[in-house]
Amino acid sequence: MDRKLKEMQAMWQAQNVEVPDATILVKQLQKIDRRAKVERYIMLFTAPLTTLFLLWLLPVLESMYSLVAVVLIGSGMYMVLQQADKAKPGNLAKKLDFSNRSFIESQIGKLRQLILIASKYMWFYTGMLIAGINLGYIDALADYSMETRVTVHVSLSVTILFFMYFSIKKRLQKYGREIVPLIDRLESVRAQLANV
Amino acid sequence: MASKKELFNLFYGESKDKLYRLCLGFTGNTADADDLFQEVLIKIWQNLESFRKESKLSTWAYRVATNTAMLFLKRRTQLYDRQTTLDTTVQQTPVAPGPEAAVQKEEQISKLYQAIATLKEIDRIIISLLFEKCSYQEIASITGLSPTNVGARINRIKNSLSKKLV
Repeated sequence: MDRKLKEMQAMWQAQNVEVPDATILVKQLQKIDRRAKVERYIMLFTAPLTTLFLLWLLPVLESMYSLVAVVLIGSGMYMVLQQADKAKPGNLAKKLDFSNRSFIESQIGKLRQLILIASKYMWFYTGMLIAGINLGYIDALADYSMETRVTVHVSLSVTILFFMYFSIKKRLQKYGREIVPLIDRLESVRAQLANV
Repeated sequence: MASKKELFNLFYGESKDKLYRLCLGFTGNTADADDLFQEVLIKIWQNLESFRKESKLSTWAYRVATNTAMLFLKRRTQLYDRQTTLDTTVQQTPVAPGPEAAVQKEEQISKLYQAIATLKEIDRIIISLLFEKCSYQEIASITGLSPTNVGARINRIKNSLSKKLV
């Protein structure tokens, strides 16, 4: 290393810092671990519990409509969860011991996956949810007049559609503010890593 | 086999100052460096069990730190880990009023860190690792560049920093 760099290195090393005590830190980190574990369990059990609740709520053994409804809603949920799993922070963390180049490449893909979930898979789920809920209501509304049944089905569909539309729109706006600039930044770092 | 807590204590004892300097070099100011240091510690804690001992603990920690830095924007735009906040506020030793030389030295150090923070992200990482006495080979394995390329870049970074520090 030449003299100039050595001088800079000496200055760099002379930066004086006092960092927190390890014992206190470890206690705080263990607290974070416990919270993360609870969150993981909640995520793990939400979809199966919802499916079980639907199986209990709807007469799946007597009605084909109910059975198809549960299958549709359940499949929709698992489809979104499967896609979300590909981009979840837990998976990202496992890649942290990669080189910067590999990490950035995997990050860009995962961040794009998040946008894809909101812009595409959430709409697939919306379609499956609307179809499933409407099928589930067919038997429940069997004794009502055609007019009432149509009104209930249309109202339900429109309500879900509006709810999902605004949720997806809000999420995409958030991604536009946070993820898109981050992808741009990572793309720029990837360009810096070109071996030229 | 060492427990996660023991491994963390070992790592923290060895690398805390180096990692904090790396965070400060990446961000250029103590407020952001504190936030980044906190994120890095959380990531290291969460991933300690995946440390495979194929590399030195410090090299592994640098990888985690530099990759975390890459995703670090600032608190208001953080994407992940909205978790319990770690109290890692680092107390800078205040510059004692007194000898002019000490104050001047402090200013020079601060200027150096700020100059480093204006470099491109990868250049910041390269020069910080070099100043932490990493070999070209180590820097190459952390960044994913070739050792030759690391050498060429260091020369360019040195020139750029020299101009900024005039």
